[in-house]
Amino acid sequence: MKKTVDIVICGVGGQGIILVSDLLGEACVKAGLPVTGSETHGMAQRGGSVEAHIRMGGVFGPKVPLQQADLLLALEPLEAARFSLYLRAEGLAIVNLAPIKPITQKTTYPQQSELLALVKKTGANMIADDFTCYARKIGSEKILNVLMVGVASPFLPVGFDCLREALKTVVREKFWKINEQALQWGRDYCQRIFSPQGEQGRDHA
Amino acid sequence: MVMKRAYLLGNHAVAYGLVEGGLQAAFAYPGTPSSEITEKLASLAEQYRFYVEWSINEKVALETAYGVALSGRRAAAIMKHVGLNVAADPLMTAAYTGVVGGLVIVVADDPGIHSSQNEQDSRQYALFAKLPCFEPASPQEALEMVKFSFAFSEKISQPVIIRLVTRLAHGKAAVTLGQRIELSQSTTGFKKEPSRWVMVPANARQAHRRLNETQKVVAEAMEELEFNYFQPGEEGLVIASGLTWFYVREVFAKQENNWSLVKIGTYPLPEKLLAKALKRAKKVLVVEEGEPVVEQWVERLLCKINPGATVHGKEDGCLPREGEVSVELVEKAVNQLAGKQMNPKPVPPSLLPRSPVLCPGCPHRASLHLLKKVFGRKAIFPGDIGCYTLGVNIGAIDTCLCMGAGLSTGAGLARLEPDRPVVAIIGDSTFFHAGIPALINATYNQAELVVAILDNRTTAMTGHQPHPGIGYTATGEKTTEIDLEKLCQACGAKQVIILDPYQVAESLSVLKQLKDQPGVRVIIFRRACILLEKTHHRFEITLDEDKCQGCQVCFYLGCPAIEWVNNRPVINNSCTGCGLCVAFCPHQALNKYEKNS
Ligand SMILES: Cc1ncc(C[n+]2csc(CCOP(=O)(O)OP(=O)(O)O)c2C)c(N)n1
Ligand code: SF4
Repeated sequence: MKKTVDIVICGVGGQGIILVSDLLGEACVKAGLPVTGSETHGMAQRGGSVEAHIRMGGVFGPKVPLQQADLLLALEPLEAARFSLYLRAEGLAIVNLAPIKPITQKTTYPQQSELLALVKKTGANMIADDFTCYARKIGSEKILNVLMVGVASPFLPVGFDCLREALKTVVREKFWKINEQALQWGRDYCQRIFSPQGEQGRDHA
Repeated sequence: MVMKRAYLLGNHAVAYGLVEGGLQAAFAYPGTPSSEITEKLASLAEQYRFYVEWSINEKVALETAYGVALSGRRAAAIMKHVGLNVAADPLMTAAYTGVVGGLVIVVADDPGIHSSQNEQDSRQYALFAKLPCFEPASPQEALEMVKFSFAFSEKISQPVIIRLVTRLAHGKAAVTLGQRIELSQSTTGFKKEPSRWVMVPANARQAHRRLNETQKVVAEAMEELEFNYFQPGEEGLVIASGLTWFYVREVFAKQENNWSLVKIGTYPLPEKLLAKALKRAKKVLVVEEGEPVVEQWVERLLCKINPGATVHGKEDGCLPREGEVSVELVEKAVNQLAGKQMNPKPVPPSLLPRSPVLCPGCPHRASLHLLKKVFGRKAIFPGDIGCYTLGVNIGAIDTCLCMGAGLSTGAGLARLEPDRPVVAIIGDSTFFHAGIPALINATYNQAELVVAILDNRTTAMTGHQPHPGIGYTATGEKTTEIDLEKLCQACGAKQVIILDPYQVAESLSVLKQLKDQPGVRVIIFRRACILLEKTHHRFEITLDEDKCQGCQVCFYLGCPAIEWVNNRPVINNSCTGCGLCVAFCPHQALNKYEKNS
């Protein structure tokens, strides 16, 4: 694995993207890795497109350059397409397929296949599923963010225990249990997909 | 403070820098991207025993901080870039008088205009006021610089400006925290010294001379600081200030050539250090966020030192004049100067945009639609800055200039356009910040104006900070709550009425009466920001398919909870049950039910 893992996390204001960035950043601190990142605050948080960048092991600036992200963690499919230009060709996109429609009058939400085609065009691999649905089953749509970190966890340069520990720093105690469940669920999901008997490289496009 | 490493927001690193530097009192008005500094300070105030407040505006914040500094204590004033316009008056003359205790002015610029009305460059204020300015390259350096600047400010008896940019303020990094400096308790307090503190012309002339003399001392001091350095290499030279330093480093980490690099972290620039680098350079690329401040400075130096060298940057179009710098832009500029071809970068796909909108259930949506409905298409709605500026999407905000401008712009519009109703729209925090003088001016000069104060009990846009109308302070203590209604009456408004924007029918009838009356009329729409309400969903909204005519009136309210599917509204699960759509549906097709009943 190369030293720095560049990650772009994207979605819609209110989906808990800053928490993901805090979680990954704290995990780096726990693992003794350098880390830099940047996030969107302010106006865009009112339901606009939101992106956070995090460079695990990173020693330079806070932003991932275009076509350089190893991982795109997209909490919404339209945003996955929008931010796909950050992905490098051998990178990985983990895409939540549950759409959130922007309230722009008249224009219709694009077809899922169109959006995923844009992600694939980068040459990156993709894991795509309706993770919102799984999050709801575990107990709340609010844990979608942490669940998706669980899915990404095997590709991160920090151990799973660092993530679990970091979770305790960034989430209030009341919510530890459900978030740990979400993290673990995500990890199991990913391992299922990539196990030899599993649905290797499954994508739902 | 224990030695600790944490993944910190740049703004939080700044807050720790202030605390470690011995901060005794901080004053701020919220503004993206600066607000988190003060919020962090508020959370640390008790532990480290310093004072922190949300001030009514930046001018008052800076003047109050200045007062603390005159008493020999360490103070900070914190604001966003345009806040410094408001505080420019005290800034310019505080430079003349200087200070006793350290005074640090933290200003967060917003290149790229992520969440502002312009992208002005605060370094130019530093030059204008002839004050030193530090510009950090990373959250860790921000902490160190801020910590250092208190002592520096005391050494030169001048306020110091810290310039941040959005990517630094909202950037993050693993940061090592240090110890809080223990200050000796020996300050003598404010000493009367009229020749120094009273800026009447005779004293001000002396003070200006003193200020000019300090310039040399400050410039000398900058040569010694590690915030600037020169990394010699080949004859190509890149000079980078602030966080663009890391963009440049990242680009050269990938290049075979090894140009000379200079990192700039202080203003005035370290001219001697620069001279060393410039002497042997043939091509100089200058990289910086904002205006070509360093670039023009370097051009001046080169005329003296090495007139044969060429300077590249924002002035020759090598880098764009507007917006943010990035690794990609630096790479392109370096390659261009090295005569190398580059693969074209991908163009963003043209996709359905997702712009910020008022939250579902936002009281502003209700207020704005009520005003539109009553005052009609002919009316002009001069607006202001806050969440409600998003009302531009529903045609209820016609102007937005700067805080407080809506009222005065409205008075101006109404003065010579008497046949059009003018309804100025302003938020509660904004009204306290800059609306009061404008309201008094309107009543005093007998303007024909309706003023709508959207009192959502908070400063919502910047993250829900309290303000003088709320009744508690930055650190959560109870305090005097300024009564908006009485305040407006005291400002001379003939009529001041309070409406709940959720009460649509009642509000409509009151507004209709008010419409044709003369003079300045103030409407206070009072209803807390929905994000402050712990339990919403007061009502369940359902659609009567038979009554619905597909007219889209509900859809055009612009609420994220209403989607349009197969020519019918669908209420999604972001609905808070405010009932606005029910009241506005012309065919009574939407109904609301008390939840759980
Ligand atoms: C001089 C200046 N200071 C600060 C800001 C940042 N700012 C933008 S809107 C706003 C306050 C909005 O509060 P309010 O008027 O109560 O409206 P709300 O967002 O609550 O609807 C602030 C502080 C600014 N734009 N200009
Ligand atoms: S944060 Fe509050 S004031 Fe701002 S849009 Fe949302 S509900 Fe409205």
